[in-house]
Amino acid sequence: MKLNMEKIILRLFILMIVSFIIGGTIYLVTGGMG
Amino acid sequence: MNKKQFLKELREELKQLPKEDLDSIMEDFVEHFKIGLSKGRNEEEIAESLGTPNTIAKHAKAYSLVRRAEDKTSVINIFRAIYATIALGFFNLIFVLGVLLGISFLLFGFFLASGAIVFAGIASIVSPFIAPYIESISLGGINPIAIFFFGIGLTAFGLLSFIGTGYISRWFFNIIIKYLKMNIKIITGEIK
Repeated sequence: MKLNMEKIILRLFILMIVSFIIGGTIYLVTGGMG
Repeated sequence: MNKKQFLKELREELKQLPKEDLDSIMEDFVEHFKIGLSKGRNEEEIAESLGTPNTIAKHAKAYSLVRRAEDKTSVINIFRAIYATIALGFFNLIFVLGVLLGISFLLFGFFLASGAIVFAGIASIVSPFIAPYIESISLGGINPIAIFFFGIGLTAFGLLSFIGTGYISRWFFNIIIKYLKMNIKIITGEIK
């Protein structure tokens, strides 16, 4: 099976952005460092 | 030197090369002799016009190593190719060797850094789950869910930088190979 590098990169990129946004939002909403 | 001596010496000089390369070069030179003889020249004249087996072998070795580095790009293969090209008398490549060494270490550093980022990411994903059970792990008062998502983002970022470093390395090695090829072409007279 040949890996489609472009697809993998795009998915990783989207995963990174989405995770940072979700994580960042939760961090801010819950009062940062507590 | 007659044909038999010439070919014997050449084969001796080239014996480190892969068999297919050796055979193809030997065939070429047998052909050179055939053409020369058919034009009425004698074996000694033809051998002289071809150059010494030692010079031919040095050139063929460098070319073969550059081709191998191109087929199977690795730092070691590229160093071998550069070394063989320097042996041809291209001392400008000593400069390239220094640059290559510096950039190889830099790329190695990038790979290590990417690995460390992935490791940190995985640790962040796992830590919210194990922190309640292990006293020495502190989340620093940050929401565990936020850490979990940061961990996923960090892992993805580490993997991306790993892939990115791979691309940069390949691009950089291709440039070095092109430069080596250009140098070898200058000596064969393909570029004047």
